[in-house]
Amino acid sequence: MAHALAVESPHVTADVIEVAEFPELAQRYHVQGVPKTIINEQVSVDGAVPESRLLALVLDAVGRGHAP
Amino acid sequence: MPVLTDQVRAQVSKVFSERLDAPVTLQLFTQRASPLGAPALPCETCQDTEALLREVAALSAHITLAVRDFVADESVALRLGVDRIPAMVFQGRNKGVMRYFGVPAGYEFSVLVEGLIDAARGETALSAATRERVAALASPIQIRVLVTPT
Repeated sequence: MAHALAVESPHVTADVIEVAEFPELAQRYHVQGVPKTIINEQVSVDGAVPESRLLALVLDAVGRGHAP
Repeated sequence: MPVLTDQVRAQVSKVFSERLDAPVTLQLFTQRASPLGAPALPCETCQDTEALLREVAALSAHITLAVRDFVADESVALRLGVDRIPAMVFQGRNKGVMRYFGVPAGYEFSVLVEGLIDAARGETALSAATRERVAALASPIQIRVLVTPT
């Protein structure tokens, strides 16, 4: 889903990360379950995120006005 | 020994033949075996990832797999935002940046397959409303999805 957004917009950078291979990221993002979605290093959501929710989170991050 | 089973290979081949109809390049950043024996960086899954991607890339003439050494090609890695390995960067008609870090195995294998198709086509299965809102974004958005293979 995140990749799909990156297909559609030049402003989106989408990384899918197999976190078991990178324990430092699991620690950094306090991962206790997956999937975990982080947007602009400030919005964090645990669990699967449907399309409408992901879009709302992205728009919310834009509204906060902080670039990554 | 092949990574993909005959059944999976047949399924993916069929999906690619039906939906992957444009060129896409997958830049894989990995590590090469050192002539001295020990690799420059620890990477437990780099060999498995490369083996998997070579098999997947062989399933469609539209896929180009570019295998790069993370150390020797550091400048390219930096330009593409690759700071750890294994990592792959999808390059097709996608407007934004699509990367995958780690080995796309198990459930995440579909992320690889769908990513290749979407990047090649430059279009997705997102709803028209979502595409419209996303296309209108005017500031940078970084999305990181942390997953595990099973």
